[in-house]
Amino acid sequence: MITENTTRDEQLNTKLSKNSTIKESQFGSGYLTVIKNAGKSNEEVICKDVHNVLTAEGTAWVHDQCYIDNSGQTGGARYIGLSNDGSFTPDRDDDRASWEAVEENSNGLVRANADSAVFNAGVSSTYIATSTIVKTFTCDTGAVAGIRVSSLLNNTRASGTSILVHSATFTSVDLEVDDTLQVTWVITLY
Amino acid sequence: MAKFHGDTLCVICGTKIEHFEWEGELKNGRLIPAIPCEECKKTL
Repeated sequence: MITENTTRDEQLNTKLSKNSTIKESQFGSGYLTVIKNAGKSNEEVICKDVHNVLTAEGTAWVHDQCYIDNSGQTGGARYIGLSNDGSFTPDRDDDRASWEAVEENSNGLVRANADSAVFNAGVSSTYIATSTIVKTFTCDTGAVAGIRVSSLLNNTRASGTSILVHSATFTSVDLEVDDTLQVTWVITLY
Repeated sequence: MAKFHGDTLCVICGTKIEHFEWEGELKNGRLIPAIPCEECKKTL
C-alpha cells in the first residue's frame, strides 16, 4: 500500500497532474520525489514533486556549461546526495562547502552517481523537456534517522571540486538497515 | 511521441546500460523506460 505523508505545506507548494507535467513557465526547475522501500510491501512515498532551490553557484555552472565556457565540460549534475541535518534549509547562496558540512557520508547513503539519467524531449503539444535522474540508496551499516534533504551535484564528494546545483527538503524519514530510499529528481527546461 | 535517451539499469539483471534511445509513451506513471540489456534480450 502506498501512503502519502508529505506535509500540507509542501503539497500546497507543488503543482501535480497526471504525468507530473509541470505547467509553470520556469527555467531549469528541479522537482524531487522520494520513496522509501520502493516496490516492497512497506513502500512509502515520502514526498512527491517538491520544488527545489537552484543555487547561485549552480546557476552560474549551468550557464558556463551550456552557453559561455563549455570548453571545460565537467560532466552532468547527476550525483545525488542526502542529509539528515535538521538545521540545513537550502538557500540560493548555499554551495559545495555548506552542503558537505551537513551531508551523509556513511551507512550506504554517500553521494553517488545516478542509476538512471534519462532525457525526455517531451511531446509536441507541450514541449516540456525533462531530465530524470534516479538513485536508489540502501541503508547498509547502521540505522540513520531524519533524512530530510537531497541535493544534485556534478561530482562525487571525494572529488572535492563539485558544484551544488539543486537542493530540496522533504518530510524526514528514518531508515533501518536494508531499507532503501529511491530519490528521483526531474529537471525541466523548456 | 515522446523520445528518450540516456543511461539506466537493465530491468532484469541490473547491469548498467550506458546509452539507449527510446521512442514511445510510458504507462503507469513511469518516468524512465524499463528496458533489458543486450544479454538479457537474448534470453527473452
